[in-house]
Amino acid sequence: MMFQKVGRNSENEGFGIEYLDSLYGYALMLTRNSVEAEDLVQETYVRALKAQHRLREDSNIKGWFFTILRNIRLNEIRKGKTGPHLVDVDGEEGGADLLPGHTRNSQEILIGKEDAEQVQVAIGRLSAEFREVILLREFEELSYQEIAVVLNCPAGTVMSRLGRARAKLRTLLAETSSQPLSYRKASR
Amino acid sequence: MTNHDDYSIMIQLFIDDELKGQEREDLISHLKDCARCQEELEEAKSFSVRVRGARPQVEAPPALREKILSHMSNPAQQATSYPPIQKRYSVRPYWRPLAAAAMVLVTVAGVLSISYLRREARAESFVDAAVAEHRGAGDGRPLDVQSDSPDVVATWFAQRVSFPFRIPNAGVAADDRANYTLAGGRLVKFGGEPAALLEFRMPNNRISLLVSSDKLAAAAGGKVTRSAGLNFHAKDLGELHVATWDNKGLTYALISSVAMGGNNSCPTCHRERAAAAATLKRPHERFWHAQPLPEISANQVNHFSY
Ligand SMILES: [Zn+2]
Repeated sequence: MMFQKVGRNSENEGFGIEYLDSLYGYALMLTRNSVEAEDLVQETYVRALKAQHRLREDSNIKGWFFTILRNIRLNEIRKGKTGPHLVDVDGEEGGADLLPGHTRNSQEILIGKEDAEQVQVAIGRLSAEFREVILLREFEELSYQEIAVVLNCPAGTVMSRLGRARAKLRTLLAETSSQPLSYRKASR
Repeated sequence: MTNHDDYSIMIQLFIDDELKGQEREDLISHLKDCARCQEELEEAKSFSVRVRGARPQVEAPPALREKILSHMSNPAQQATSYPPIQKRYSVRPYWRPLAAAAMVLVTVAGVLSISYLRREARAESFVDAAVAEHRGAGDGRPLDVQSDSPDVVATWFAQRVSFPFRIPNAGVAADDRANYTLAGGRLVKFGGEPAALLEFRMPNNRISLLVSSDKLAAAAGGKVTRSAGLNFHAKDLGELHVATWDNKGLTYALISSVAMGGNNSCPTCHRERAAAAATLKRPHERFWHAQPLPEISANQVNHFSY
């Protein structure tokens, strides 16, 4: 669609602004904190703007923004500016309270949203590593290669991690749907 | 020979659009006569659809959007004015109410100023023009350009108006349950300048959207709703519902029937319903918040701040 091609032109104002919501969602997932997420996204645009002359004509702009955001986050963690949210191992982190969108207006949760809610809860129970790769692939629809660049790992690793993440997610969802109805997340 | 474990992996790659060349051909021909793999493909596909359907409706805070946009329009000035991150955390709880108070002050001052009154008058004439065009089209006035392709219509207008014309992405997403279809547009006059009037069709209704440079008109008055960094001004005029807003150098006025009711109501003013109707993407969001085309000059971003 013609209106999605905006970011490539460096003369253009609003450079990459079409990825703002996606980047904010990713930042929320990484930080689990809306204040930190806002700062992270803001810093991402500041850096991107400075570095945009380095973009090649064929660069994937969306992936590039995600990469910048993640690198800033990793640096913050290394410098001890924040808790090490990224390094937890495959374990359940207790609910989806901080999953982006969880605090949605309850009016948005209408018929047909119940399943989405279940899936969101299950994603919230994945390890950070699995949650991240699911977000990048399923929500942001980045290719394996693009994800590999963001995560700074081989594309083969993306493939296997994604496979394990999906398998885990299936297991969690199977558990959810075998629970009695009253145990499920209430959705009105 | 490929075994079924390999096919399982290939099926997932296929769904992720990562399977290329010979492997892809192999899988496709295998699928033709393997019921087990067909079933696995269907199951994996529906799982993917299910996960994607759970994408949360995350919206960046409008204040963040504004901050970023204003940084882009003036990087040097903004970069130095950012307080250090650590410090900002500690002042944050106080910052929000202060900012809200500042905003109220700006609004109150605006109400009292002459320029605000002038602005409102111009907004009214802009809305009046849009309403007149909407009614005229209802009387069977033909369209100058007839197409459901935003590209075709945008190209047509780009050669005829003096502002950098942008068309909201209506009805182009396959999952757009609101069923807007672009019908085309007409070249009209507003303030002595050519302006663009777009027509969208719905099963039982039609929508008119008047687009002009914000140098000629700016949105004002009505009931103000803030959404995604934009201010929407809405009101009812008899049987018609009007919403007007400014975005990046352009002013829009959208006219529809009040009687539309239910899920077909103006999504600007019924955002919850609009959000609930959207699935994987947010067609309404794209409709109401058109992205700028590249030819917009840098200084136009200033119109975005208010
Ligand atoms: Zn088979």
